[in-house]
Amino acid sequence: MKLVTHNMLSSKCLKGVVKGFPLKIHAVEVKTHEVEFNKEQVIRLIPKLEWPALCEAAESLGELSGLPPDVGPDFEGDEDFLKKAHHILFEVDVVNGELECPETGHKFPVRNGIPNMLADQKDHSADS
Amino acid sequence: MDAKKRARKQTRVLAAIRRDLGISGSDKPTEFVCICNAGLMNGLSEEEFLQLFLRFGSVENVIMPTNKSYAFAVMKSVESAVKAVQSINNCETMDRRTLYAAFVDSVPDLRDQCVFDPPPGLDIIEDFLVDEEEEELLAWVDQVSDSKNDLDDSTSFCIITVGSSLKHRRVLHFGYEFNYATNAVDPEKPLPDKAIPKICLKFVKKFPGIDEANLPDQLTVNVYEPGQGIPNHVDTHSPFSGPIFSLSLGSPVVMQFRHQNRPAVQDRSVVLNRKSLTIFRGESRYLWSHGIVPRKLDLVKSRSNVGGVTVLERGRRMSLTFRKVNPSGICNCDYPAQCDYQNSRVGNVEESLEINEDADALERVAEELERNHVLKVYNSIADHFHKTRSKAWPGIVKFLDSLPPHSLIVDVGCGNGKYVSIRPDLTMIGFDVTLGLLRNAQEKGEVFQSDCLAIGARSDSFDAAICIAVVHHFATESRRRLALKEILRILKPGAKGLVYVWAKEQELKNLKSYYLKTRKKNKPISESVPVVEEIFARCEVSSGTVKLPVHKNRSNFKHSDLLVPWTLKKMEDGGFDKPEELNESSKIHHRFYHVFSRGELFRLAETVEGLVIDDVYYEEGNWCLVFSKK
Repeated sequence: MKLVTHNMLSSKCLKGVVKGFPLKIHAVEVKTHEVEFNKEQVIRLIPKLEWPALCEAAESLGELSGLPPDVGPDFEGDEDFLKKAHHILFEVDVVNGELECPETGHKFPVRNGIPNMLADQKDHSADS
Repeated sequence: MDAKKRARKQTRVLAAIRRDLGISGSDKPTEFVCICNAGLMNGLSEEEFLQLFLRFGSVENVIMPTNKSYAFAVMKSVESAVKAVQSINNCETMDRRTLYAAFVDSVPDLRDQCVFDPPPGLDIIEDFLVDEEEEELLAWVDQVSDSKNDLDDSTSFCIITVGSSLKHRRVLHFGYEFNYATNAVDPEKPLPDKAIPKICLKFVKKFPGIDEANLPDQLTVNVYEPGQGIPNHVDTHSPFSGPIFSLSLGSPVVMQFRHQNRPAVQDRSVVLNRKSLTIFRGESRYLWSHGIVPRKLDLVKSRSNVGGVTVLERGRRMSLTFRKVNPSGICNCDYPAQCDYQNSRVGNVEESLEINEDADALERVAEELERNHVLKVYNSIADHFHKTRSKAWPGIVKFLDSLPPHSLIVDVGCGNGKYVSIRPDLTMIGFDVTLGLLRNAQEKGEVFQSDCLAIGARSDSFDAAICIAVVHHFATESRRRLALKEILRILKPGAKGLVYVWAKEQELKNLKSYYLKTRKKNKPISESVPVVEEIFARCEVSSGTVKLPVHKNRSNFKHSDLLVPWTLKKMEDGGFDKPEELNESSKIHHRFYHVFSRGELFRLAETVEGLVIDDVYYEEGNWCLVFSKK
């Protein structure tokens, strides 16, 4: 699970949850690997994201590395900022751990890089 | 008959016998004698036949083929056979008929030519009535049939016309009128002042398993003159509950039973004797048709000859048939393919369950059905599925190409992720409920596991969504609507969505879909294929079972809700999957589908608040919806 994905996830799938965002990350295994930097992609993506949630997620993984708490008005020209954003969006991968619903404390497992956002875990066991 | 004419006739019959049975005439005398011009077909009974031959010596056997006007006798010695042939050809007559005989080289073994055993579920209680009771009922039938004969009066006998006028039989109904066009009654229309008469009720109360609660309330009286019959039919299932009881009076008759969906099963010829009670239950009631052939003679089991057949002359017969009308109209018999009630429900999950009133119960069943017949199946077939799914449909490519670069797209029910990396300048995140498929999709892009009816993603967040071949896996309309609502929820206002579902119409505008066309590659479905027996499967759910038709691959859809089998397919290189997978995946898995009829996707989308329909089109056997979020 890359942090771009984490930024889109919410526990809204649980009954009674209002927003369910952002989900707290309890990482057990994190991997980083290089992904080709695409400046245009990062520029287009940043306005679609919940930036403070991304920072929070990066911080919990110890990957904040000087990312500003707000996106500045001239971010499109800030190559250094864009590269940092690219790194935490696409190069950091939570392989195993848990995601926690901010409203109910419900935990969603992340296994082998795939977050399981099913409300009813026992009913959807994958291996049959 | 002069000798020349006799010889000519004899040659002709012997040729026919050779053709029918492979038996030839013999120049030398044998112990096998053939009567060339008399048999069961023209009314020769086994008793008469045997009597004829006993005059010439000991008889080992008589063999009489049905539907033939010839028959065979096996004499104990060749001498008595010679005596018989000479004597018969020397102007032996029977019923003023001239007979002629010949030696043959063998006789046929016809022990299985007629099956007299009743079909499963049919019970016959012989001598259910004593003679006085039969007389009482016969007198009563005569009285009611004579007292009124105005054909327009519904209380009188009516004459049922079957084929030619010789085949009329008379019927009279009590309780409810039996409609011979539908083989049913209308439970809403009881016959006024015509309940089952007391004289009959006293017998009904003695029927096995009958009490006040299930007392029959419909009676049909049939009067058959010799030669009259009733066409083969199954009493329609849903109008009646419980067994059907029939009292036989007067002459015995043979009732013919025929298996309704397996023509190879031999017909049964069941003798209904006078004073007997016949009880139709189970297979004999629901799966076999019954009828009486209009003829004056019946073929019955020979009393003297094991496996032999003889003829029985019919006299006047009456039957009193008692049924219990079923006001609910629900039939849960074990023969859904023959059942009017279950057929009207089959192919519709909502209606196949008797829980329409209880939305929660229906929801639970739908969930179970999807878990067992969508989720579990895809998990089991994931790797094989992955290998067979790589072609991108043109409409989907076109939709994705229309989106601005670097749009953030969600692939709802991404499966093996074949679209996740289709355009490198889009950021696409896929999700699916099936982990097995996600493991394949993961190699191509970002994925998470989630349920389309409760998506674990935040609202108003994606620029576009595609949802290909997903919504047709939901078992109820409300769940299919919920799927659209959830997709709409996670889209930004103004964002676009694309939904593909399987179409019930696989041949539109005379263009066969890719799906139908590909069947040629597998197995040609010839036009002369006999009517395929429809197969139904029972899906076990906690509240009972749901019966669904199993789709025959590469054929048109007959139903909307059905199971589609997934079987191991040959790979494109001509080989199979890895051998170790063969056993596991060669199992047949049934996937649940709701196939959409023309207009259905449009109507469903119309009911989703905030959804704007941009386009509905048809592509390769799919109905496709393009929409925007308000």
